[in-house]
Amino acid sequence: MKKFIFIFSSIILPFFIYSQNNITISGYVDESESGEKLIGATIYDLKSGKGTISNDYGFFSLTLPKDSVKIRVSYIGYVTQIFEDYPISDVNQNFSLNDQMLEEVEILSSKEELVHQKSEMSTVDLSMDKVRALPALLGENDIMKTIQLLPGVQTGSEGTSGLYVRGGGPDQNLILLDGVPVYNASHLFGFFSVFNSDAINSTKLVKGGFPARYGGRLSSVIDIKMKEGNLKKFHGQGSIGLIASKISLEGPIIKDKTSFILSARRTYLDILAKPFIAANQRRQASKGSGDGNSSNTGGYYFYDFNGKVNHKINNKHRLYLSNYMGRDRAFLDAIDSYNQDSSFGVDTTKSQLRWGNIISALRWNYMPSNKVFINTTLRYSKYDFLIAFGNSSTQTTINQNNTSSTVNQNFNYAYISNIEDWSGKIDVDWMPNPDHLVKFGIGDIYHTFTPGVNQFQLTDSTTSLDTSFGAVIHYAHEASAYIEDDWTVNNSLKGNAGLHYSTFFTGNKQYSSLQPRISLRYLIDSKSSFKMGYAKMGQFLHLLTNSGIGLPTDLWVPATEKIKPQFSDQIAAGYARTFNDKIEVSLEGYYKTMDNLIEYKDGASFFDSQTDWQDKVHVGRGWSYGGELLIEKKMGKTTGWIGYTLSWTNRQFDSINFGQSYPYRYDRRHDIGIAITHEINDRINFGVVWVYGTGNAVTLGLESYSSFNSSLVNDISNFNLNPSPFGFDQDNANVSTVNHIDSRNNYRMPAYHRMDVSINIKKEKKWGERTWSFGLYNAYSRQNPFYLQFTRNENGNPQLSQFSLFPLIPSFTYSFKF
Amino acid sequence: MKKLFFLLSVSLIYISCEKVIPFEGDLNTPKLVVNSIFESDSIFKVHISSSRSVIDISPFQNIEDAVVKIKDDNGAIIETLNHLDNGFYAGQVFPEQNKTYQLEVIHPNYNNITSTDSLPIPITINSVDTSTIVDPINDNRLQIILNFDDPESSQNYYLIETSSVNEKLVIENSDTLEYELDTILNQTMILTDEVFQDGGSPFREQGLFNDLLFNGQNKNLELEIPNEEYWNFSDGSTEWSYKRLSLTLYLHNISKSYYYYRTSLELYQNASGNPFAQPVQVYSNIDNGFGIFAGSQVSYFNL
Repeated sequence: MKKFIFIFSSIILPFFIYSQNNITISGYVDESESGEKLIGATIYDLKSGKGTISNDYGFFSLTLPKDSVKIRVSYIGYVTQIFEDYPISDVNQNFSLNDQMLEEVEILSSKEELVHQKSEMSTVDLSMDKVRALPALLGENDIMKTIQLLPGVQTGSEGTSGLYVRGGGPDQNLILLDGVPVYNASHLFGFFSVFNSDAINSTKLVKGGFPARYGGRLSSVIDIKMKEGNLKKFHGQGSIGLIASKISLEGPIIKDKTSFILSARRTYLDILAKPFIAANQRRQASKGSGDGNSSNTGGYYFYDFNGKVNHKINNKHRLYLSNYMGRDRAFLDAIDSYNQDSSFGVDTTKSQLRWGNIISALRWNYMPSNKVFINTTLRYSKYDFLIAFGNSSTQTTINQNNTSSTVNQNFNYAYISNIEDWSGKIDVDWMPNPDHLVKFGIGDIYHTFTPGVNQFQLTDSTTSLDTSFGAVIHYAHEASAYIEDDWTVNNSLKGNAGLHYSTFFTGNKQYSSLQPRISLRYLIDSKSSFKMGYAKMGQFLHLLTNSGIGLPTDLWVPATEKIKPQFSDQIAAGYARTFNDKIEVSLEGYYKTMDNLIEYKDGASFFDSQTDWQDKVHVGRGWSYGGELLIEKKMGKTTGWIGYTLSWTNRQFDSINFGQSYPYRYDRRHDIGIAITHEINDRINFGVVWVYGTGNAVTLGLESYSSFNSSLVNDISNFNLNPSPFGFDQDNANVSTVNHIDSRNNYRMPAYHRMDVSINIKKEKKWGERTWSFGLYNAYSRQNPFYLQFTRNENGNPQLSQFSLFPLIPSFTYSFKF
Repeated sequence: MKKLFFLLSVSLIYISCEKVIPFEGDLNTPKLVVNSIFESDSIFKVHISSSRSVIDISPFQNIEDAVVKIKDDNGAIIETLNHLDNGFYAGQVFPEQNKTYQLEVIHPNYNNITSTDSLPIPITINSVDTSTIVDPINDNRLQIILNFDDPESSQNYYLIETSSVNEKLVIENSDTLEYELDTILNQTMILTDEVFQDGGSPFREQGLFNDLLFNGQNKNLELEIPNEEYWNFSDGSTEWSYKRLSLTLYLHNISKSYYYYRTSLELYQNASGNPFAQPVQVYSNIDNGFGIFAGSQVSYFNL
């Protein structure tokens, strides 16, 4: 017991050491122009050498010895502020930083926390300015595509926005939009992500050394914060691009108290195509014989909408309401009318494919004291997917006695799957003194999974049928609690240690896991540091995917009594160094194991809806290891980064590949991502992206042989090993050809590489600013492999063919800001 | 249709390019392929052929000049098989139940191949009960309940199949053009028993199952055969009419290797051509080569 008291007091005591004779300076850091909160700004006391960082809501609290203070507040791209005071009691002080562009004098150095000083590892913060300056597919800037350029993150297939982080699958990324998990982050079959870059304030990627506050996914956290809306003035921005247009409006509802932001985006391929389709139809109709008429409409579009309102009740209370809604829809409708002999009628066929997310979060910030910050969140998230097909026909027949009879028939089929979450959580930040930043919290998610329901309706004169089948609805609770401490042990050693506990109730089964997390930074000298981290992660959800490229048909399913949750253990170690306060270099190595991964059985497919998904999968494990190098320059005329990853990723399932381990489809030995932007002057900047990746591992049968379907071969003298594919000319044996697959993912596609370039030309106008952006995607038109297939040439000989998606694609976008 | 094409070409304007790329598989090292199932009621019979690269278009070759040896589990030669015809080799020895046999094939142009398997024990069919399921919509079906004892000692793998002898008539405009006795191997069965619940269609010509659910117990295996006694189909003017005269049920107790081979082959054939299905690896127990060398013990029952 004495031992326990000693340990307990030695842990708890340091938190209170500062309690006597100290003062606390607390407040918010925001941008002076808009009042938009600055996340991760550095607040540093030059006298005592203590400092802290503003949290996700721009809040900070710094407790210092009762003495004169000289506080430096800095944030990259903003003018540093110095605050001097001789406080005698606690101070509530907010800071508003000016955008560097507004200053006549250029401030050269950034005093933000440099890479070697941060205790967190395997973490990258992305500035939205950088994302916007880089070239993008069809001119649509996309945060997910930019993340793919970072080391340790791999792209799946060409053009898609799925992420594969350190050997993990696309389901293992916790994508948070204002703290709410997003289940399917892609539009247009994955070619665009659902995040409208105009509505985003900041983005953080965590690949390893996860702080205890994050949980629920194995491989990464992508923490995206939406803008809050300008508290001072009304502003707008928007763009008109090749395939989509978007607009954002923001401004105060009550100045300095309540603000809003609304962003909307829509593609218009379907609208552009409409006149062509109509013209085509008119031409067809004029050619028609007159006794019938048909019209077809179809198309594809997506739209999304972000809205947020924030209200400052007083200095202690704030409320935020954020919403996202997005939809993709592809449809084809055909109406045929006919008039033949004695009957006439109309036949209408409609089919569609539709999916989308709805996300809502209501958050309440409460500051009970200047050292405690409490955030309470209520969240809702829903992803749904639908394939529907319907036919209705009306036929009227004139009988011989001049009476008429009409027959109506209706038939509708729909395949629906969705996942819906209601959740709540409370997070507390406690800043007892500058050496400790303690975070703890609890939360619960109530999941409803509906993985695959078939609905069938039929009505005609004799039958009326309305049925649904295949519905196995699962309900589950996912509760979690965590505590972590960001602890500055001494001038050299800083660490973040914590525990994350989560438990999952599914059916009659409860799964629990206690996940220790730790990351340490040791400053070798003023320029360099050594870091290491360990994290255990748990994930109670699985994604059933055939293609692995993030199609909307991928199904989210829970861990069940039969299929266990996924777990991973990851260790990482690294070295970070800053050269001339300008170039940050980090080198990291990692080793990660993953258990209870699922994979479709041989021959299984999504379309086979008769079987419960649990019978269609095998459970196995995976592991990945490798090294990552990131060289980044954040300041100056030329900025950007070079990332290189060397990695190995394998899977092993007892019932796949006869139990032997095999490379993961996205096992990528070499992966390079270069993203550079250069400012020629205030008006013009250039962006270049170059990526290279070892080819994906795919499964191909390389050798063929004959196999007998039956053991009964009676007439061996007339046996033919090469039967004609058209006939049943030999009844003595049923011989078929098997393409032998030596092991799963046994063949490498050719390497992937591509360069994109862009130029942005800005001009000040009376009403604001306009920018013309011109871009080339795949500038040297490399034919990159999308998939491989055996085909036949003109002589009928088999050959291996590669199919590619995007050659050189030019794009232009006109954007404006006022 | 034109409109659909137009729509597709607008939306997929950038999707296109196909390019032939060099094939990096091995083109020049074909391997020996074995197809051999040994049963206690017949001598060892082995078919040997050679494999080829998938992009090779030359026909598959029977291998007629290989040395094919059957050995016991100590490696002692039992017999060397003689080539009969078209790549088939046969000997004079009948395999014995519960014994393990080794196959060795030597050919100067190929790597030597070996394989090992044993012959399971026969299963006694205790009884077969039949009844008719009256179904006015889908025609009547013959329901069969096959009763047998599963041996407790080991995990067992089974294959059930049928053959039937039928009277076949070809009728055109009420005139019988043709009459013959037609033997149909592997008539379609409806397999709804719990042992077949692997997600596939219940309509199968052969049923593969194992004793995971009834190890060491007495098993009543239920199956149905469509078209109780008569069936016919026609193309408008010609009618083919069948009358079943006899039906034989075969219950094979097969080795684990054969079970793996057959189940994977069945999956392979079902998945072939479906771009959304996971590719299937066909099992082989031949070292350095392809194919199967496996024991199967058959019991049958005439209805």
